[in-house]
Amino acid sequence: MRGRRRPLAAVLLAALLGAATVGGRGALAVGDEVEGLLRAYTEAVTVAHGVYGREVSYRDLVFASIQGMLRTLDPHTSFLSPEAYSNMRERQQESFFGVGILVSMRHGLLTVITPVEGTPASRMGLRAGDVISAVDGESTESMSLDEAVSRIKGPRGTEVSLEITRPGLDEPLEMVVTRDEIPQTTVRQAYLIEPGTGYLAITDFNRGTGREVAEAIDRLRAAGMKRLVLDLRNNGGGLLDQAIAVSDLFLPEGSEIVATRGRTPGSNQRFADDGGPPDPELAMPLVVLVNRGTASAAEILAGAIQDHDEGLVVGTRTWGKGLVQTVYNLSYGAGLAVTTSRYHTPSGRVIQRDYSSWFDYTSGGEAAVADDRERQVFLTDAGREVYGGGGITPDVTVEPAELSVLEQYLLSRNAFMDFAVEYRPHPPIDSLEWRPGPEVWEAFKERVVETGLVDAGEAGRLDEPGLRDFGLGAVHAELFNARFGFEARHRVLAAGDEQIQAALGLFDRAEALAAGPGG
Amino acid sequence: MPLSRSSGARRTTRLARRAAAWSALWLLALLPAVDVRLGAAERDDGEGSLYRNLSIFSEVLSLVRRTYVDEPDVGALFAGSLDGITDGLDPLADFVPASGVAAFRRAQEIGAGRSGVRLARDRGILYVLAVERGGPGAAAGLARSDIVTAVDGEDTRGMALWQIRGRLAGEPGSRLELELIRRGQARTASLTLAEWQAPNTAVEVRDGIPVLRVGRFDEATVPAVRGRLEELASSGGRELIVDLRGVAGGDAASAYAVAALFAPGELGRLVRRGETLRTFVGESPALWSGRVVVATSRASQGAAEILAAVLAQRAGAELVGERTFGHAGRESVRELSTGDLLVLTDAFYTGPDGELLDRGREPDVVVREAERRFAESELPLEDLILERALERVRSSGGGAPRIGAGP
Repeated sequence: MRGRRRPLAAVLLAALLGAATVGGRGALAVGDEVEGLLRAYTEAVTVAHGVYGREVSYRDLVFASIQGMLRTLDPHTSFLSPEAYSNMRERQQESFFGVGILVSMRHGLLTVITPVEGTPASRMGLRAGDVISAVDGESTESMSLDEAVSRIKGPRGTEVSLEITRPGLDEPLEMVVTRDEIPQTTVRQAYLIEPGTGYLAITDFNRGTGREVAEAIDRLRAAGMKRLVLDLRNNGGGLLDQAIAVSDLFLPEGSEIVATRGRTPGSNQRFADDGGPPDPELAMPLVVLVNRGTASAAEILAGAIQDHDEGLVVGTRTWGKGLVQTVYNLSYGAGLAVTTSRYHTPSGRVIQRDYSSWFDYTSGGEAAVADDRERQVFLTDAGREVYGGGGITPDVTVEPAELSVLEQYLLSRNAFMDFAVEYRPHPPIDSLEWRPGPEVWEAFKERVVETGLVDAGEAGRLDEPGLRDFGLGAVHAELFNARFGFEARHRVLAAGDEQIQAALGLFDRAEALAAGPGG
Repeated sequence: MPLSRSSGARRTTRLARRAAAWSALWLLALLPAVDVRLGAAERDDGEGSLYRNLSIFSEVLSLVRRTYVDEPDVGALFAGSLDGITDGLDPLADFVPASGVAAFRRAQEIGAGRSGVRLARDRGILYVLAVERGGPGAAAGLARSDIVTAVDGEDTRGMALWQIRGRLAGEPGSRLELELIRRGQARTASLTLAEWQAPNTAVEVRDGIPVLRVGRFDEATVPAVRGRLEELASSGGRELIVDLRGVAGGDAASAYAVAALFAPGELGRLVRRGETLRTFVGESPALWSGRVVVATSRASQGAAEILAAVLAQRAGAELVGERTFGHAGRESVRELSTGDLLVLTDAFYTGPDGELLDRGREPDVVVREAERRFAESELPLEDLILERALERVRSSGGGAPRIGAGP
């Protein structure tokens, strides 16, 4: 038996190893090594399957072992089970069918954070703070967030019935909503933050991002925009082609945007502004806001703007995720995202941060980022020095305000939003000029003591000026959200956002850049 | 979400498919050589079939070898795969390569006897399962749920349980520098190893309420608990807190024997895939018939979970604290033909209701980080649990007499 099988195995093995054995070692030597390893692996899987104290599927064992294999490579090479892969593809689709609300679990209640404008939910008058107590007659009390969301979603044109418990109403409301296409907008904010100054935030890069940004810029320009704050904070990336499409808007035609370098021929590519639509370029002073949460495709955009001196980068050093994954379809609907190349910015910088200490890397520890003095220096088009080896270092560093322990505590307990949902100002808020007075803070303090969040003896701490300003801002924003919507909420938050305020004060430097040799 | 690029992917996928189909066939050809008999059901293409899943494994292996940004080390890929098998089973399973067997055996013998620390692992991340009160780990400031990121400067990524347990079983007097992450914050701890054994039992009286801590489970635990209970009963006590916070590991049979002091009859079983291997029965009448509140934490594991289950189901005890760890099983060590070892659970214990103790038990009164009042923010959660347990006894203790101070 064995004698007959060996040659067959050798032939098949040669087919399997194919291109992989081009390296120094001979096919046979590698084949023997891999054969032994595969044999040991298969034995371990079958023994674990047979011995474990309860039934365990080969699927679970093998999937866990694949995760174990990929952990030895880098933090971004990952295996996607058929379920995870199909979820990922759904998220990357521009649209899905639902009613158009952002929801979250608050005190175990399924709560509307905000209805999305132009969707069935906003047309039906759903409001921030509404609690969805039942979906199609099923109580949401024991549902997980995922389960509730998947029940609300469904085929386009079908109906879903929502029972809404609204603060201030005795009886629950019954709403029958027709599911429709819900755009997954990635530009949630685009407005004139000051006369002539646009503010535009991109949350991530999906299929529609390039078009969304171009349209938002057209709109702002028509409204009189002369300069722009582009907010890429906490933008974790997304589709490369969309980062390139957005870069097109900010760079002169022909500029290199990013290059990828890897081991296979297909992984070495250069991407440049092709001058195609959507264009023409912005050509006005630009400040780009970045932080620790700016990653991947967003770093490519920020890096290209910095290297070509097209805008001033402000904030904190970005994450440093510059490994490119190619996503492969595997059999049976599974997927594999494998790192096939690294990004290099136009000046030659590697975006990827060191990940040899996995924990430093995933916790965002500073230890993983080399000291500036040890880092390789690269030059922008205009000859400014920029650093390689870990994310994009801003031209002007502005740290975010740190929250105090009590502030974090109140935020984590939803204290501000809970209060705003129930609070009724007298007289009612009638214009965007409304500002919360001292009576609002008194009512808030009363409420948090009443609900037991803060003991009466500790209530004095709520009057520390920093906390009071922060808390009133948060309450103000939530009240405006309920009354005027998401943009009004954002305007209030932006007024208390140190990084945005700093950006607004840096346009003279951005202008100097734009006037320089690279502009 | 990974950044994806589709150009060229389709062609490569087709090639990968073809290579994978070949390699899966080849893997199957190997199977008889490791003496595995595949039934007809496993040959078919169902979701759980060996064939289907090995072919996915081969696809992944072949794609990584051909397209990964740097040339990968095949030996390391397989070492990671083997390690992943046990990692996916439960947080206590382990894979020991032949080269580590001697170190594994030594560490197994010493256990927590030099550190007072028990560890577990989830998706490659090592963390502190429990810290024995009063032991070297507690003295070093370690706490349950701490993620251990480095030992003496060495990154623990990819480190197996037996490896770190080997470090914790080092010579008495030697010192380990640990890097930790606790609630998102990095910190360090200096752990000096010493000969150590957790005390069997201890009784502390808080506000007139006796708190009986069972610190470890072995043969000496049963007479010790018996003595404590007789003492408490003779002083007229009708209320008792059984403190199982942070008690992990230990001997299951002793846990059932301790449980028998509170409740007679069938207390649980050792079950392997529906088959009962052993039944645990309390022979003598219960020693304690008063009210019992049990304090549990996420670090209550193994024998402690057995006792908690019996007390809840047979002694009318109320559980206060966190959901327990969720693993009370019999550990088995299997040697493979390579000399490597698989360390895994081959049977699970049950409570009186016959449910496997393979998931955590939800307490009647749940104490969560998120429920802390601001004034309590500095209190360790384990202390908060005891406070809540005391509140429970006080709030519904009725007029039952309480015993005086003094252990």
